[in-house]
Amino acid sequence: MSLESRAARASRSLRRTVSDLAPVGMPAVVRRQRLSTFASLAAAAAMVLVFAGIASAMPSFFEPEQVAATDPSLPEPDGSPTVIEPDDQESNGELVEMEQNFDVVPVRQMVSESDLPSPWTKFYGDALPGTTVIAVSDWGSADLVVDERGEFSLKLEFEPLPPAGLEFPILLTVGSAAYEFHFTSLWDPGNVDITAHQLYGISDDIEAYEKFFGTAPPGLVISAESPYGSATTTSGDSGKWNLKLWFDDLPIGEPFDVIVRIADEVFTFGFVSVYEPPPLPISVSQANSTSDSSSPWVKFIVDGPVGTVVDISSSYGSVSRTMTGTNEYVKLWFSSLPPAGVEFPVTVKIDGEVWGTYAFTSWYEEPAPIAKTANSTYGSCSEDPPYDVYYGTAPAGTNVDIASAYGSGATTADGSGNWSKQVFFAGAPLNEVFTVTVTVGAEVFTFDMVVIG
Amino acid sequence: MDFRFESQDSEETDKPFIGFERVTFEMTLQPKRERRSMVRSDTERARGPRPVRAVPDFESFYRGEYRAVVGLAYALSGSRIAAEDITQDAFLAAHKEWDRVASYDRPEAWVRRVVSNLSVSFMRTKTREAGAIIRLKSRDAYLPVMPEEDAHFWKAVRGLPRRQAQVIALHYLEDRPVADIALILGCAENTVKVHLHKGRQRLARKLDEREERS
Repeated sequence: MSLESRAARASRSLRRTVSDLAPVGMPAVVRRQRLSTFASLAAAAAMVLVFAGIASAMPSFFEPEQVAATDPSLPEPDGSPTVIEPDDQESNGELVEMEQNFDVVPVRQMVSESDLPSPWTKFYGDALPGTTVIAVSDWGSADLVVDERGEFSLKLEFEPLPPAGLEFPILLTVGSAAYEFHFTSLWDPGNVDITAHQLYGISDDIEAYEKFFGTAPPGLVISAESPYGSATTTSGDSGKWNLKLWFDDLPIGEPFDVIVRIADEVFTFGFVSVYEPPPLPISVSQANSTSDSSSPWVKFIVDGPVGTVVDISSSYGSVSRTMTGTNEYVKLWFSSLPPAGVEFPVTVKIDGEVWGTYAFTSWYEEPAPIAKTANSTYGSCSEDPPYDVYYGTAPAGTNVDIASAYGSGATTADGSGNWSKQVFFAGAPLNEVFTVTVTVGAEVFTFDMVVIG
Repeated sequence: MDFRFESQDSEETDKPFIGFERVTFEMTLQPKRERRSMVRSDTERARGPRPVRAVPDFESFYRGEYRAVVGLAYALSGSRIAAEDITQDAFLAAHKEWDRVASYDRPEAWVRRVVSNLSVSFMRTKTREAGAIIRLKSRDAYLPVMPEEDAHFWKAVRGLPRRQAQVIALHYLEDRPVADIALILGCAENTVKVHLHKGRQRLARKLDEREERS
């Protein structure tokens, strides 16, 4: 069976249950007085009567209402409201005030004594909506009207302050029911202990301060002194005090004492600043991403705290540097020449953690190797003394030897791969060809030479 | 007192509404918390001269609503004895405040709110039973007993969280729309929808579990 069907059947059943129910008698409640002022006066007067021990003789004083009880056979509880004649003969007289509820579930008091400088007590319980609840004492009163929830919680704050140790009565009226409670305030402004407490003892803030608090008789001066600042305050009427002490130019990591003086009492507290400057932010930027040098390098600009370890690595070499300043250039010379025009990654690590990967391209192309060559400038000579000039190319530093029967010479290829040498042939016969041998490294070249007469 | 409506958009505003001014006067001078939820909105009222509603008399209100309110109290308290007691208390409270409650557009909603609040506390119900038994001992019979299956349904309803139980009872027993339930319980319509949805789910689960066990 569905929920809807069950619900419909159960609802029909419940309606049938109450269908034959005749309404009980109409209430003939005499209209309640609007109680704010009147009820307060009545309750206060009732309290006086209670104290005088004559309240029992005048029960009607507590009964601002009259309700109907149309069935005379019903038991009438003690102190119940006055019964008037029924106006509906069919009624059975059940519509009466729930006086009994308050007997079964009495009103409760939350605290009956307090050592607070602002003492209060609280009453709570159940009552019919609209019921007026009034608490009256020599040290203050409070009232409320119970709302639709049928519950109340009435707080009574005592003003002026009751004398310390005096137990005084509070009369609480809930509708027509009256209860007597007691309260004792234990707070004595002349007998407040002198106490001092420290809140922190340590600070990690660049602008450090400490808070002190405690109790002292009202009006006493409290001072806090330290090498780095001092402050004073005065205890308040409630006997409490609190003090905030700011420190100037505080050394980091060096504990010191703060002396708190209240009258003749001296309290010593310790304090230390553990402020740590925030770490410098780290930043890395690449200074160059290409090079056309035959000895290429890449450079990074690193900002960070001293001691930061910077590692730069690539397939063509790596470098590691520990920063000695907060701003440094870190350069990586590539140990082998990267291929020209090919972009490759360069990884930067900061303190072992990969910070980023950057791109680099070398545009330098290695030149082709220099061939070993030798040439003769003239091949014949009519000058006296006769000579010829030999020249050619060879890798830089290659030795060149020139030899003949009538003269010789030697030289070395220069840095650009060129060489040149003039050789004189003194004593060579006229018009007779002879051989000149040029050795460039391991290669040998021969030339004919003739001196023309 | 010669009193006139303040509306600007009607020629009839110049005519004195003799005999109605008391209603207007009271509604203006009673800015109670409950009024905000129990009467029509100011926007609705500001469209023109207000229709004047006569203050209902308590007796006809009491006789007309009594049975339904007892049913609601019975469904939520589960006690045949306490249900009548709770109902009487609610009507007694309404009677005391009748000038105010009667000025509401829906005084029956106020009574149901009180009953809904008074009925859902187990301890209160037991206390009431104890008190009622003492006071009503001369009475021959209380409410008749429901069939077991139906009684169990309402027991399961009472096993729901407080708000869900109230919403379910008003929805099924009184067949009230969501807006009505929201007015009675003093909460938003969406809140009622959520409680209704969750309450039905939980209730169905409870009833199914019981069927399986039996």
